Amino acid sequence: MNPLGGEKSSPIPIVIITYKDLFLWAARYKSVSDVDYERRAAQISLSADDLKSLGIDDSAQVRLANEFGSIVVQAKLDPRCPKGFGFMPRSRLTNRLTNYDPTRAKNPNFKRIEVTVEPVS
Amino acid sequence: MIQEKLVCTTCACLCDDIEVEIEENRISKIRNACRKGSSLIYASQSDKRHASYLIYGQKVSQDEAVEKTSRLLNQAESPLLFGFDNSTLEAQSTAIELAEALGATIDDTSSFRQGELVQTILSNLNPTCSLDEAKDADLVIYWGSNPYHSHPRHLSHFSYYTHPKYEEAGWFPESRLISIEVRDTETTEICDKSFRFFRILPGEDPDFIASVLAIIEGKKGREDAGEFLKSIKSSSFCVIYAGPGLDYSLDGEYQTFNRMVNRLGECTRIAVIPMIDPYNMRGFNQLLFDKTGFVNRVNFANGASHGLEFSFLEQVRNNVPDCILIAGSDPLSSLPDSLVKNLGDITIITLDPFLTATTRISDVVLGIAVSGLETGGNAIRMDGTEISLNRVISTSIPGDEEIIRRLLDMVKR
Ligand code: SF4
Repeated sequence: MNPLGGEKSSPIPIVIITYKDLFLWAARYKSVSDVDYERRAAQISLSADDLKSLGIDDSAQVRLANEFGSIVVQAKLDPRCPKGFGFMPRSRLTNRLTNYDPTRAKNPNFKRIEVTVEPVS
Repeated sequence: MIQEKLVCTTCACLCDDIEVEIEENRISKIRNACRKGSSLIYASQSDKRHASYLIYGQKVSQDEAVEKTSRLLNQAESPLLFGFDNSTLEAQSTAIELAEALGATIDDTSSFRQGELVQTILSNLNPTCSLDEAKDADLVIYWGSNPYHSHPRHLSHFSYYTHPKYEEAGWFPESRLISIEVRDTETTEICDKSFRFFRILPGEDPDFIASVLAIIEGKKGREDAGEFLKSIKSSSFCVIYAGPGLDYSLDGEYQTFNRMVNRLGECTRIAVIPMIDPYNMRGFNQLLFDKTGFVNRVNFANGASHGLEFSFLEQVRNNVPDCILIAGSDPLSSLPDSLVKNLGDITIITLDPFLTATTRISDVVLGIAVSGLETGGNAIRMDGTEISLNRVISTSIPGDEEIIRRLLDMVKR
């Protein structure tokens, strides 16, 4: 059992929506090192329901993966987040999971990245 | 110490009230700029951030870098010019001339971000107004946009808080704020206090718009669409600030949105202003539109042709260009890795004031001055208003206009 009361489970599908984050933007220009940028970029907001399904607590590490790549980020509990969706600041990190497929949409899928999420043990 | 006023060129708000103190040709204090603007202004002072002239990673002189660039462009069979949204109007106009002289394809970031919306506005398919006029709007709508992060001074300098009758206590609000978003944000919090936040699911915008139209036409529709319509009908001047969230949800297909806006215009005064990010994307769109009738995706190989196949995304996906000149844009940081991996086989020339992921993989890098700080010129704000940029820092680094002009002269010879 995890602190939210859920059982550990297999990867679950979610859709990531990326957004522009002011603090990430400023970090890119403010510091010469990339550490602050990468720390801010490596976060995903998830709903309480999804954290429970994953059997993890707030701030746990999760792996996001699809056919284009895989990244490890920190899961943040966000009560504003609808179940099945994850919100991430758009960054070089999310670029590893995004794709451009003109048969599906004219634009890259920055607002609809289908991935599976699983806890990193 | 000298005090100067400058225009911030970090986003398309082009705030023109930024005050700086300059000591020994360096900015020591900034007033009025937001966190986003001030971080770029300070970054431009860092020597570690500035790009220089490089050929295959080796430092060279400006002349060598320009000559190499002109040779590569002349030799290219399918050159592509991309970016220019962070360039002055003068540089953009010269870049369009260069594309013509080379018979090249030219495109900018509007090709995958709000270009279609700007095209509808320039083609008079959507009503618009200036930000100065928009201050009188009694209903302000942010649709798929969270200005708190994207344009931090938008609310305080141009819209809701600048309404002549804005009342902090909010007992008898004369101006109201609506946000249409997929989740709660800093902006929706203000909306909830001021008036209304319409939460719609990701990708649901077309359905919401269709519902508004259905209700206008006397049919049944979603409850939230009905409330939205009521709010607009009760306003005397409504401005919709259309953001990238709306653009992605519509996938650039604005026909139904235009129809909705025009039908709403029968009940109240309404205007649409695109929440453009790069400071002079609107300028690039305007100049190319004036010349060809299209805001982006133009090929000059045989007159001026336009089409999706001339978008940066399609060109790179299909490995069409053999040489790309990129100005003031960093596709390596902003586009899918699965797409930009194709750039590895293409000759890349980059003009940028800063070192970026794209300059790192470029065959030639041309470091340029920062517009609005180290060079002057003109730009077009998100609402279509032309703004003059001052130069406040002197530098020997040329601006992009000067470099592109030199390239044009060499290519013509
Ligand atoms: S809102 Fe935009 S233009 Fe204004 S200060 Fe901030 S970044 Fe600069």
